[in-house]
Parts: sequence; C-alpha cells; structure tokens
Amino acid sequence: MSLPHRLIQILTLRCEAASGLTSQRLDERLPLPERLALRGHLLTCGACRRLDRQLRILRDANRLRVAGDPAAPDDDLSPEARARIAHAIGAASPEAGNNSNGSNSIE
Amino acid sequence: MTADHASEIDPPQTATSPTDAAEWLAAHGDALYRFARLRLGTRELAEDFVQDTFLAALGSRDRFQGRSSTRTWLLAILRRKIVDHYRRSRSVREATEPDPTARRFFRIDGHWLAAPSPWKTPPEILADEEFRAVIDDCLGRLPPSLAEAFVLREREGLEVEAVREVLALSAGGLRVRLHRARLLLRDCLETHWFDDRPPASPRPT
Repeated sequence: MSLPHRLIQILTLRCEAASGLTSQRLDERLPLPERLALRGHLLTCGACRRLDRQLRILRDANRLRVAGDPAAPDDDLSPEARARIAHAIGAASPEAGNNSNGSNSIE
Repeated sequence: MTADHASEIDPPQTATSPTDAAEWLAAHGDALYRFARLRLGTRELAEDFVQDTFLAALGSRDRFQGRSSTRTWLLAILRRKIVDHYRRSRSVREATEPDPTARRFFRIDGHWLAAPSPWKTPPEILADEEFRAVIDDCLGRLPPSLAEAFVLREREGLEVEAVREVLALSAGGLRVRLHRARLLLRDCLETHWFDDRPPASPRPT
C-alpha cells in the first residue's frame, strides 16, 4: 500500500479498524502511525474507549482463571489421569525396562 | 516458562529418556490438558490425547531443536493430533469458516452498529465464580479456531509468537482471530452477564 494511501487510511480511522488496533495493542507494540491514529480516535470516541477497557477486563478475568483456580478443579489433570499417563510414558520408553520404573510417582 | 530450571541445560542431543517425559508431565500436563479439553470436549478424550502427545514427544525428542519453549513444542504436537482427529471424523475444514463477526458489530462504513454498553465492574467481579462460569460458557460458543487462539493467548498467557507456532498461523491470521474472538466474547458477556444482572436494589417480590 502506498504511503499517502496508508496515511489517509490512518487519519480517517473508523471504529471497526480502531477495534482491530485495540485488540492488536494487547498483543504487540503498534507501529507509530497506528499508535497515534488509535490514540486520536480513542480521545474522541467513547464507544471505542469502552471497548478498550472491556477487552482488558476480559484479559484480566482469563489470566486469573488459570492461576490455580481452586473453584475450577476441572482445569487440571486429575491425579488418576496423571498417574496413568506417567505409567504409559514409563512403559513406552525403550530403556524403561530397568529400575527407573520403580518410582514413577509425580506429584 | 522454563527459566527456573537453571540446571536443565540440555546437551544438544540427549538420548530419549522417560525422565524427560516425566518432567514434561509435571510441568506442562495441566496446560496440555486444558487445551485438549477445550478442543475435544470430554475429559476422557482429552486425557488420551495428552498421553498420546507425550508419547509422540518422546519419539521425536531428538528433532526438538529447542527453538521454542518445551510447552510450545508440546502444544503444537497436541494441536496437530487434534486437527488430524477432526479431519478423520469430519470433512469440514476450519479454513473455510465464514467470519462470524461479519457485519455484526460494525456498519459497512466502519461505525459501531451497537456500541458497547457500560459495564459495572467492581474489582471483585474477576473473582466471582458466576462471572467466570459465564466466560467459560461464552468461550464454548466461539468457533473452535477462535477459541483456541484466545485461550492460548489470554488464558495460558503465551506470547503471540508461541501461539502462532502452535496454531501454524501467520501474524495476520492470528491477529484477525484474536480480534474476532475478543469482539464475540465481549458481546456474549454483555448479553449474558451485564444485561442480565438484577438491578442494584432488590426487586420487590
């Protein structure tokens, strides 16, 4: 895309494209023109500011979720499954015939 | 992710050993299981796939160059197995999925069709069990290709490069999926949580 074309596109950023940049910003650093364009858009657009805030809430809620949630035991392998898998790993290893199999307990 | 294993500096070509896999199981078993569970639905199937993943990883240990983290590598193996599984049982290709956000949130001119409503979000909301259940439910309604991208990035906290590697996606492809997933989840939460909340004062019965 030519530079003037791109500049015009950035200067006339609409909510749909702004929402894409809002999402992208959560994953990587935006190039300068996009960063400025998004900042300008957010200054004047309450709906997109709200989106920005809500996507961050969504992130925080999900990050917390995996950090050892006692309320969701289903998020983790059960001890039984863990033991079964450990056993299968031990049995499948070619050199597992020796004593290394004696203790395959993994907490 | 494995930065705390200071003693774990592998020689370039270690012989496959069951110890490796035992360590993998301890360090990555839960993350693999969560991903498998998301994509496969039942617990039993998910457990089987996790086991298969470790066995396959043992077999290809010498091909692992250590370019990516062990977790990324294992997730990529698991994900390929899941894709194969669906390819065998269905003929639907994920790549041909239509855009589920098309003209749903924005008008053709790029303006909001319906702007996000304000959310009342006290800090405690993040720990609210019901709120989390609604998020899980909304996640379950996403097309799998969007849910897996979202979960790896926002739940497991993988860097974008790692997510791309696991899902075999281009930078643009992942960007689009994360954008769509976030818009859909936000919308679903608004509908099923924020709009449904009882008013602040108890309703007269």
